[in-house]
Amino acid sequence: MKRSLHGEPGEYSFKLKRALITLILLIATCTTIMAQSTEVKGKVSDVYGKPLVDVNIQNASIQKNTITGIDGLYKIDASKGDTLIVALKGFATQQFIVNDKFEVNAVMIESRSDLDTSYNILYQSQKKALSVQALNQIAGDDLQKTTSASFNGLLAGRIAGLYATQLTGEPGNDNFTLTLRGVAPQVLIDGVPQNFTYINPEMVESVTVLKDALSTAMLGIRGSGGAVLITTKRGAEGPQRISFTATSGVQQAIKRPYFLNAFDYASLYNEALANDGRAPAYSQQDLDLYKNGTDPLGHPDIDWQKQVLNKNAPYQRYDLAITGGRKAARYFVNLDYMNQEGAFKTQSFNSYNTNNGLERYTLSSNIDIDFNKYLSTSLHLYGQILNGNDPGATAAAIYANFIATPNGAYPVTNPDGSLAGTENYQSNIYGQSVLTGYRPYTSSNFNVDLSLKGNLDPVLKGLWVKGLAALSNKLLESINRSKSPLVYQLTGVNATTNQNVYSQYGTISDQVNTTAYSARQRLFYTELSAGYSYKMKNSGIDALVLTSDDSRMIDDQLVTNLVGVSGRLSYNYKEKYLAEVATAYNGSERYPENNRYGFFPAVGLGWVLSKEDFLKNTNWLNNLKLRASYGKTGNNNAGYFDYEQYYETGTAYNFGNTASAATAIRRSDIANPQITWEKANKLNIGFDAALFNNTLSITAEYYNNKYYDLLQTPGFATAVAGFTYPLTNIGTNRNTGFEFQVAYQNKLGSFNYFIAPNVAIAQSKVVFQDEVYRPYTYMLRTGMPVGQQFGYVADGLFQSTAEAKSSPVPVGANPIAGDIKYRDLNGDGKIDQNDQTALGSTAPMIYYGLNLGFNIKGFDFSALLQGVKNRNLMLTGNTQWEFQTNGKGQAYVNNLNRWTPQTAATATYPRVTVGPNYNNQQTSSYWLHSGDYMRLKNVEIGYTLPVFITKKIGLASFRIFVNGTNILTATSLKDVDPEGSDLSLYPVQKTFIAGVNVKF
Amino acid sequence: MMKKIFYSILFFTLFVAACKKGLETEPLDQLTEDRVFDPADSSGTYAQQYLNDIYSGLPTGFNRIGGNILDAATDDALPSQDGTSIENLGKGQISSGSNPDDAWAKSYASIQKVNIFLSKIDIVPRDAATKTFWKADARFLRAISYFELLKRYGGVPLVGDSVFKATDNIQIKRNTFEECVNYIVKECDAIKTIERADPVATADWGRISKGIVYTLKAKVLLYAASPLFNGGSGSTNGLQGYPTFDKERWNVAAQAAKDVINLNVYGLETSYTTIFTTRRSALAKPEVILAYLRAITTDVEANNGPIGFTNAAEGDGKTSPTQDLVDAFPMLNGKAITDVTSGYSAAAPYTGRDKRLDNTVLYNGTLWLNKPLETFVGGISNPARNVVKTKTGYYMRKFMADFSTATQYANKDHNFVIFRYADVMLMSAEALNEYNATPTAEVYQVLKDIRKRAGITVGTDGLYGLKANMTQAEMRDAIRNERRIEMAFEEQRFWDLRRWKIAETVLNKSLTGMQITKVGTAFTYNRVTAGQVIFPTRMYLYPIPYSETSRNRNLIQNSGW
Repeated sequence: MKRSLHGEPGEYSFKLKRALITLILLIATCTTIMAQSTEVKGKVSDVYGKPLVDVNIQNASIQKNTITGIDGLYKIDASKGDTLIVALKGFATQQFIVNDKFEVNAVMIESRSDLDTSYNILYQSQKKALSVQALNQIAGDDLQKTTSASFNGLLAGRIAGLYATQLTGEPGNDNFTLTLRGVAPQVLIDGVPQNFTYINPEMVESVTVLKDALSTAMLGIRGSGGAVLITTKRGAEGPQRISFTATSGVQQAIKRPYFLNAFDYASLYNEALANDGRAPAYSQQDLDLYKNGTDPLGHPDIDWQKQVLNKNAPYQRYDLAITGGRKAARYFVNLDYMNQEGAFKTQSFNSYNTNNGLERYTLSSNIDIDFNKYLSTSLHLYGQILNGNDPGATAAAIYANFIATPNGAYPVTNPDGSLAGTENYQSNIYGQSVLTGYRPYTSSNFNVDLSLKGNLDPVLKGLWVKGLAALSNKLLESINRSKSPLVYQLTGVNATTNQNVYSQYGTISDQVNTTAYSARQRLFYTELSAGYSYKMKNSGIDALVLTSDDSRMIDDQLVTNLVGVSGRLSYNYKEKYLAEVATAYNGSERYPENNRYGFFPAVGLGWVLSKEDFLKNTNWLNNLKLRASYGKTGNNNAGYFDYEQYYETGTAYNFGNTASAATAIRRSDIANPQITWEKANKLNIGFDAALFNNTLSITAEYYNNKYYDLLQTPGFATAVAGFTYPLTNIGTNRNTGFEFQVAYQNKLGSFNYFIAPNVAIAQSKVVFQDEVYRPYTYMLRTGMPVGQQFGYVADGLFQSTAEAKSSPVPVGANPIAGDIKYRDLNGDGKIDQNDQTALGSTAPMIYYGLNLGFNIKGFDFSALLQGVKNRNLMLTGNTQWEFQTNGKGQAYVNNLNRWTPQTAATATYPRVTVGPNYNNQQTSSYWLHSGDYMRLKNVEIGYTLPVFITKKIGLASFRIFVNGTNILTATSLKDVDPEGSDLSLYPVQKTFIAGVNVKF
Repeated sequence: MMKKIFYSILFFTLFVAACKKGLETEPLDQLTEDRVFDPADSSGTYAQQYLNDIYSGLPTGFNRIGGNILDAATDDALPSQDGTSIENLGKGQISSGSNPDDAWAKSYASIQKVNIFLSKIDIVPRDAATKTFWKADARFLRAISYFELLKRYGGVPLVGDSVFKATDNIQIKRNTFEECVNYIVKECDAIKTIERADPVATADWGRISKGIVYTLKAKVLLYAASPLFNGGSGSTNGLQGYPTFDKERWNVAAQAAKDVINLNVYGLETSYTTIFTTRRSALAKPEVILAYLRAITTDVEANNGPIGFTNAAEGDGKTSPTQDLVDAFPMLNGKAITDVTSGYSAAAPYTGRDKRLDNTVLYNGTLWLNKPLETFVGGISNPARNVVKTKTGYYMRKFMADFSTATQYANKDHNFVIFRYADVMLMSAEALNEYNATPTAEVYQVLKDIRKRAGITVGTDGLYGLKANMTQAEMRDAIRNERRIEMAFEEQRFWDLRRWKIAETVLNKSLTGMQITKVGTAFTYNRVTAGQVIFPTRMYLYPIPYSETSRNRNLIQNSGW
């Protein structure tokens, strides 16, 4: 996002001021005949207080230029009232009016949002003015405002069309699902396709989201999903600059399940049994004991979440970035440590940590060396160690056990101190959390990119060649040091010895020590490219040819190679008429031999209206560009040699007189010898505008993407064939949508502010899916949004058994009063597949974000709102329904709103029953909710100490800040978080942190 | 200038060409079809392994429906757990969209495996004699797969020897019930002479033999003669059964069963208990004809053994046999407990009963794991406030090895019996009784033999408690009851109630359990309602899966679905 100016122009010390006044008075007195023109001097530095070299200083009033020297100092002829423009690539341009002090010192703020600067596109950077691709770029610094260990989480809400959603907040497993225009994008780091979950945001210079066919055409067979291109920070020439950030805070669950207390549970259980016509499981005495809590051993009421979880889990991060260099060699070095602890309480009797959590160590460096005028090299090193831990029983299993354990099931411990449990509840949750050992794991990720670039100007001006090799290695090593304790149930007192008698349950196992290498990946990527750019008087061309070989090995599978040639050619006439073509010809051996390579061309055109004569002199319009692109892309979606028929190990059979398994083999899933990549033809039309002195910028896009040859099961895939039909290139979907990305920034005196909303309206539609026979049009999937939920339409609850007996009911169901009534859509008197229709909203999805902020006198504030509309959310299963898991599971506060004859009018939940309910638990609109939500994704408030103070303590900059992530959520859902709606998973977290950043 | 460009492009092209390498071919670690059916493999190792896999598609039993036995959906047992899928079968809560006992895809997968085998096996240069057996084995496995379909769905599409391709659009019609029966019978007739003779070699135990083929034929013909299919399906299109009744079908069925008996290779074993836990009988005439051979395990005990024990003696008690089943067992003198002369005492209901009862259910006081079983209210195997426990006061005993005095379970053979000789005898008795107007001596003899083996006393009249001079209907009830108790939990009654077309009356009622109260050291017994079974008449045949009828419009759905 845009940022505004820091500091005050023309800052100077009081001393100097006096001296200057004296001087000016002297001159004025002595040489009255001299002109007013005199000399202004000053120093230009960055926020680190380091001098900036080669900064262009222009006196706009007299059209004179100069540049700063090695110490950042300059001198320029100027008179009072003249306008000085201070500009340097990569920094926000500043303007100063010369006053009678005749010294102008500038502190330049890094900025990538200027119209003049460029986009980081695939393999290159491109001047924004010349771009006809549909893309958005965000600065790496903005990502740091959101706290998320997983990189995708940082992107939420910032770019129109890019949607990140999170199912769980479990440290080390909090990965987000990322979709761009409804499909999963390819992630690249500096042009190399990578799949790191955790990327330290500090090392990110920018994230470019490539949306249309043109921008991803060079990816060829893997371009269909669009791309998220991460460009890492590189060193800049100049003295050493150091930035250190320390943050510390807490994380909390956004939502935890609301369980029934033991008394409510037992009462409701009896009611459910009575509804099934069965005898109660809890006597009146049981109920009384649960209610008054006088028998905590026999009739406990344990809030297990309180018992084993802390409310707050600590979070810390420390980051050190060092950059600098000389003209011939530049470096950027980054060290980062993050510690995200889990919520489990630990016990001092363990010598080891049983809490889950993730420690992340990241090391990254970018080194650029110019050997001479013609040859340069870049080395990017990136290493990351993720040290995670889990309780021996695993956090996931404990969270699942919350759902399976009623509050009254068993006490925490018995009178003799042993773990309590029963035959039906053999895993004591407290025991699981601290008495099951631990499971540390380490994920090591190493990545080296080395490139060599040759400038072939002597051969042909503007020609260069570049070679790149990237090596990436990932290894996940899990150590299992878990054990399993027994549980004991107090069954009575021995009459003769008068001692407690216990029954013992569970399986005891001593601590094991096994190591598993659960994920191994290595990538060897090579790339050779040549580029040529040439500028003529009125026009310019830029060409790039690239050949790449992506060779990756996953676990014990054969190496996957993806090789090909790609190219791009762009042309502009007077930077007014723009044209670009890009293409790739690539393929992989995952496709049959005769059809391995695909050709993926794309073309784009642009017209900069604001450069036309009729708009040239409008002072309110700074830029207006229309652009359109169209192209064909591929989606590399075939499985492991799907085109070849293989045989695999089958189910052994035990022939003979003694049981010994006779090896068996069977045909693997049947091959599809015709399999090919999925494709998409993508159209994008958009405009970019900058108005009112560049204070308002608008980008709008329309896209129409046809995805075809999608791998789906044929409609005639009958089981009579005796095999599962293979996925075949059949389906066609269409995704269309509009995206708006607007930014307004301005200042009122020293109050600088910006507001940047983005909206995406996305509609997907199944165009063709070889649909099976559907007798009614409302059953058709064709024409519906992709992934549309189908089911029965619920018509409330039966208010009487007579009504239930006289109504159409699901085949096999025998509902009574209080059960869900379904609509018989085809009127045949029964509820079956022919009554299933599209449920919930089929309207276009609307994703939006709003980023705003201001700064004044050292204070800065920013906030990000993010939301989605027309989202359907099905809430079913054992985290919603009462007494699941064979009647042993939990029940929820929500279940108390059940139907009973007394509450018939107000009930929002069907009558309660034990275990699955055949009638009520059908897929229906009864369980479908609006998943719409709006999140206050993050807020950050910071204060930067004034320079005169920081200077005194020897620092260039000192900033303190507080930050919150996932602070508030507006949703109609009462019991669940709209993203982390599965209550059996570790909940999505909100995070509050405070931090400090120093630069020197 | 142009020259420079030319050289640059040339340089670049050469570089690209140098970098380009051949793409890695396919993974050679994977087995391909030409290695499975290899013209150079005279032992046919892989081909035989392929056939082994088809064997593993044989029907099997035990806790296969959502962790429960199939008969927990009959009046013989209830599932102890709430909300498992067997409950849907027992309450008619199934639909074409969800059926926990759907065997459609599994059966056709086996059929297709056989067809692939038959189409390829001649490539393999194994000796002709072995290949003859293999082919016959495969054809038997195909035939029994069709029988699994037939008893569930009625007539189904017969695909012959077709080997299908991934691009085939198989819009095939259902064959009639009659065509399916004829096909299976024809296949049995074709292979019964070429199969291995009984008894098979030790190493071949579990492979198909002549007797097994004869038994399948008898079984299919018995089903074909049974009331549901023999003109009783109520449908006229012939898909759900023969449109009209023909008494002669009972004669054919009786003859087929007698053909098995006349092979004179099978017999009743003296011990009823060990039939299910012995891998292969050492007797000259074994009782087990075909069983699904499994590794030695404790799973049957772990699933169904009584609760209240821990560690290696822990059982989940998933099956609760009903009082209805317990009451079906006669006294040791062979007389039904309802017979006032039987000697049955409601105060001591397990005293003096048919010994098969002890081997079928575990009741209160049975010695198990070296303790008298406590299924009285509050006993360790029937505790208060525990959710999964017996609903009836009984746990299943059948199929388990004898753990009465052991203190923990140990791995044992549990091979699910698909065909056994007692079944064949009862089949022959049933068919003969239906065919003849009055029960013949031959029919009596079957029941007497079976009762004798069960340990029932012969009685002064030599009738093992059977009534003399029964009418056909009386004998029918006697045979049906004998089948029920002799074959309990063997996945017979579930299908028998259907083919006899009596499920709608037998399976629409409350099932009872025994509530046992301990007063001092004495017990009082009280029959209580333990659960329900519901049987809508559409349940006589399963629905053809919706996923099939929506993909193949030529498949006509069974009536009622």
